Amino acid sequence: MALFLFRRLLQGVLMILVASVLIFVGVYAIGDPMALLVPPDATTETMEAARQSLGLDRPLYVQYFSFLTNALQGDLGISFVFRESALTVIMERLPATLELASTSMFLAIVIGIPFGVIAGMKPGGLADRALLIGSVLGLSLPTFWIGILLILFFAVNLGILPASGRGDTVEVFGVALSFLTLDGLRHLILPAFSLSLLPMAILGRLTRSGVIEAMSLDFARFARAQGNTRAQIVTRYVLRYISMPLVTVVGIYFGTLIAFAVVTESVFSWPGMGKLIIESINQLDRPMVVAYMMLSIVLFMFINLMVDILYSLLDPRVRLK
Amino acid sequence: MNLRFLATATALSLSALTNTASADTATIGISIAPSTLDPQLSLLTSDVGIYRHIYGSLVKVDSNNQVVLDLATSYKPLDNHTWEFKLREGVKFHDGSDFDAKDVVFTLERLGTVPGHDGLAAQYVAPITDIEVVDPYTILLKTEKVTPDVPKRLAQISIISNELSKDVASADFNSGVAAIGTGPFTYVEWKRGDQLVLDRNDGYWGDPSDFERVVLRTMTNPATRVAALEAGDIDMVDNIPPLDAQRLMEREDITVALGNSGRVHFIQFDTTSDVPPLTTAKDGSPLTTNPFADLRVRQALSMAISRDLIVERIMDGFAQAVSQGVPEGFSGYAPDIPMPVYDTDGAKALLTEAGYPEGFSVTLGCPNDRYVNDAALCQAIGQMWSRIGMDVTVDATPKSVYFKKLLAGDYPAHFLAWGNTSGDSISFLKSIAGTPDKENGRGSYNRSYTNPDLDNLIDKAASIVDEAERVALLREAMTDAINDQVFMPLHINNVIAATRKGLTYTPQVDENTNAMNLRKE
Repeated sequence: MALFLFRRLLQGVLMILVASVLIFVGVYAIGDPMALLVPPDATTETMEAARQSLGLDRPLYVQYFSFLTNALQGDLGISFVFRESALTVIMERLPATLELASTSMFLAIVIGIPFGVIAGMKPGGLADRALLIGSVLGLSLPTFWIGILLILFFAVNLGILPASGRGDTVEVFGVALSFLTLDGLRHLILPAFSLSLLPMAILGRLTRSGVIEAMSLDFARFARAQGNTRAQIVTRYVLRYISMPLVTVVGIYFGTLIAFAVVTESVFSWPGMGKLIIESINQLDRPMVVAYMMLSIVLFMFINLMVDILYSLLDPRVRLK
Repeated sequence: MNLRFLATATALSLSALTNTASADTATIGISIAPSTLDPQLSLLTSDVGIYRHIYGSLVKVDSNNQVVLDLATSYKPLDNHTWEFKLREGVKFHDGSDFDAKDVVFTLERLGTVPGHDGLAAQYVAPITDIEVVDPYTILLKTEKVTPDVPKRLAQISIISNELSKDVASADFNSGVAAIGTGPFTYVEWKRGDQLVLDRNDGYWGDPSDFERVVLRTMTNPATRVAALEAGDIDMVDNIPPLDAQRLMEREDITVALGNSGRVHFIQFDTTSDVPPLTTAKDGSPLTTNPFADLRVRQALSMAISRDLIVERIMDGFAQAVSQGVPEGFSGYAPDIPMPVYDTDGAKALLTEAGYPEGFSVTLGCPNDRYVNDAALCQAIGQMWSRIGMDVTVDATPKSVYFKKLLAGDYPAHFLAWGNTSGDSISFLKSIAGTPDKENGRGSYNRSYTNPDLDNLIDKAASIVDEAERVALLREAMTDAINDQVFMPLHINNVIAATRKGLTYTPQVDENTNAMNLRKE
């Protein structure tokens, strides 16, 4: 186990290093942030002064190594736009994104999996057909479009839910959370629902096919012969059997929801990281983009690690080596 | 019982439970996110627009970008190198301390020393070499070079309190500890990228706001902003796309506010290269001369464009054609310059005269995420040019790539807009029409046109303190620039905002949103 964790850590460090070089060079190659950061009526002298103050007058490799030295000391650089530590700015936005992603994942799990089980227990039945059609919609309709439709229907036409923003928040251990207030919940429901549709559809389909497959396997037949009801077989044996792919998918999509909830966040003006990163890319705010990508990588690695540990808990045959 | 009734009932019961907004709070959906609240860190036009809520300045600009008094009660040049400012007495900062000359001195001294500043604030006051405090309410500003636009420069500088410690950090302004000004609103809370909450400053010396509290909520997505207004979540939104504006105008419960923008859109040409890049004869063979160096070609390309059609079709009527680099009402606007005429036959004749009867091939550079409908505008211009025989490729790229290419001189012709935030034509003439020259601050966006006579005029205008003489010179320079087609003026947009019924808003020509302009009817 210790060796496993150590190897994972080493891989992670290497990945972050490679990614930092790629992002650094990539953002540098796109363009010159100066033209976007300084108003056009600045004189050439001012442009030069600002370039110097941001350290952009040095060659790229010098900039990279100074970034690397600082990064090793936990400083990911100062945002060109906000002139504050990039990490601080991102951390301010992280709770909103985590909250949105967790709520969406929660919705996807509590709706998608039970629906999949019911559909899988009676293939061809009403629930099954509803799931197949519904999941096609969930998979193929773009989230931004669903988001705008939800806003139009619930906020503009019916006027029962707010169209955007985060609403009232409560500070819990210094972290602002909105799902603890009624106003916050009302703001959360539309973006979380529209973001949950894709993982919900995938989880539903996956559960359905898993259940259908497992129900025809030997262990399910023996369990039936022992006199278990179908419901007992599903809850006791089948769910356990199909949980591995479900955990994997939940893990992957959770990471994706956190790192790339960009579209939903901008449609609903949700003050999360996704919105921040898009604006930072548009402004060529390199420290922000680099810090964000580093954080995403760490996040993905952490989720993958959790998934692996969950595997070993769910399936005794899996040993972490 | 129908669905509508059910929905209304649910809506009523839900809103009764949760409605926290009161009539005295105005929530405004704004399209930009302020980058900082330290008024000396960044002088981006959009940031200055936010500072104006919290901080006062010696003079400020009105909704038409013209200088009016704020913390100064009068100003005048005593000679070519000295400006006298009389300060307003009895003004208090948000923390209760008095405003006087010491605060001005503190403000000007901190400028340019803030870690990470963009250099712009320091640039604005760089000509001021010395400050003399005559008495607590009179100061003399000395300049080494003759600087006629001292008041305009100071309009960009927010006055902070000298009660702050010398090493006050930008983070203190962002957290509100140091965000203390003399402006019409006081800081309550700022969540970066989300919202800025401000309360009315009841001790404000001027006309107070009609609202006890103002919330500036950042909503970068235009569809979201408009939907939030339609849903009644917020009281006002700025920066509405022309397409939505038309629809909103038909609604009973929403008022659309229109104003003119000071941002002039235009096209520049590469007139100095021997052969401009991406320009060939129609059959693809290289040219031996630079067609844009010929005035007749530039005139022909301008005549080929129907500005009315652009306004009507691309901008949905929410724009106006312009004849020069600044809109009417700005100082230096030359009323005698005629509106460009649309005449394809005349344009063809001019092209033939210049030796290009068949036209030639050219690439028009254009951003696609910077100005309203920018890519569509360039496509339309390309099509209009092809009507007089040109072969046009439109290269529309994101702004992050575009400006780099533009400044590197990669385009033979390109589309640009100039904000004219100074309220006069000097910055346009200097940056667009002037030959690049560090000393005189000319030509920051002009790589490819030189005219020493015009440069002389511009430099002269930049160093005359007498307002009437200065305006006359600015007009002459603009007229010369248009006569020589240094650039090809196109149009200005409307600034479009919308409020719920019962409120009025006066848009600002600098496209910023100012909560002070929002009033109850």
